Amino acid sequence: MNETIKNKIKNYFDSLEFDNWCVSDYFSPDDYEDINFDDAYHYIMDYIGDCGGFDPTGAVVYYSKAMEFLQENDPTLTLSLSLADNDGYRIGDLNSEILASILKMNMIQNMLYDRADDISAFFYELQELIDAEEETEEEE
Amino acid sequence: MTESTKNEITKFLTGIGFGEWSVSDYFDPENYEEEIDFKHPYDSIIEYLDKNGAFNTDEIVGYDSAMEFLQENDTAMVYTLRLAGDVGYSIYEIDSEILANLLYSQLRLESVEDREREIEEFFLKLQNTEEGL
Repeated sequence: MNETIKNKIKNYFDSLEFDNWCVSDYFSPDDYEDINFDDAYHYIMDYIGDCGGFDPTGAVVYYSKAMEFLQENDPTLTLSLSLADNDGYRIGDLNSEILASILKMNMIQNMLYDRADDISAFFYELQELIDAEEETEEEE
Repeated sequence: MTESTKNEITKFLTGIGFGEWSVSDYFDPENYEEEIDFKHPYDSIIEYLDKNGAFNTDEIVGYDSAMEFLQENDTAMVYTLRLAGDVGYSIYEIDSEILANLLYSQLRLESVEDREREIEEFFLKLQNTEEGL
């Protein structure tokens, strides 16, 4: 994989971000060759998941920041509370940091899910580009 | 009961509260003698306030207002969520409005509870003064 392709992937991964969380933080350019271009979305999700990238622990730090995040993204708190319940939390074990962190990770996964087709298309086009380049090289 | 005594009680009760909420809002100076048991003032005041819904408020309306209140008074939300659990709420029954009103009610109650001794002393002194007159 040449540097141009790596740069394209890096730039694309940089665009997959949400509130200081970014896909490119979980991949080194050396790992790009391992990406399954035919099923890039699932590969990326699994890879980030294996790296702990969706672990809510510490995703939002400080209670005041947590409250700001919740106020902006879930002012009723019903979504955060429901997600916390799904994760096995009991009402008395929760605090604003935990709720905000769980919500943030859920929003990140939803953002990536919303971009699934876009991710697949990007890697499909990239594969075509790589194939075309290899064909040209072979002809030369 | 003299007007001066009524004024003194009103002034005292106005000083007990949380934020803009004040104990004196619930009492009519004309009925102090009926509504407050001077021998057990703290218990009678708490009972009277409770009976009149002072500790079961739903005054905080709107999720934004609710979140602002929570942010200001329990940023970690640990206290409020434990309180909600203690009174029997499940996760699916609550939202920010319910939590904020629960906290507001509790803070009102605590603002009176924290003044128990003062309340007892104030009315004891008042009773002694009245009897001495």
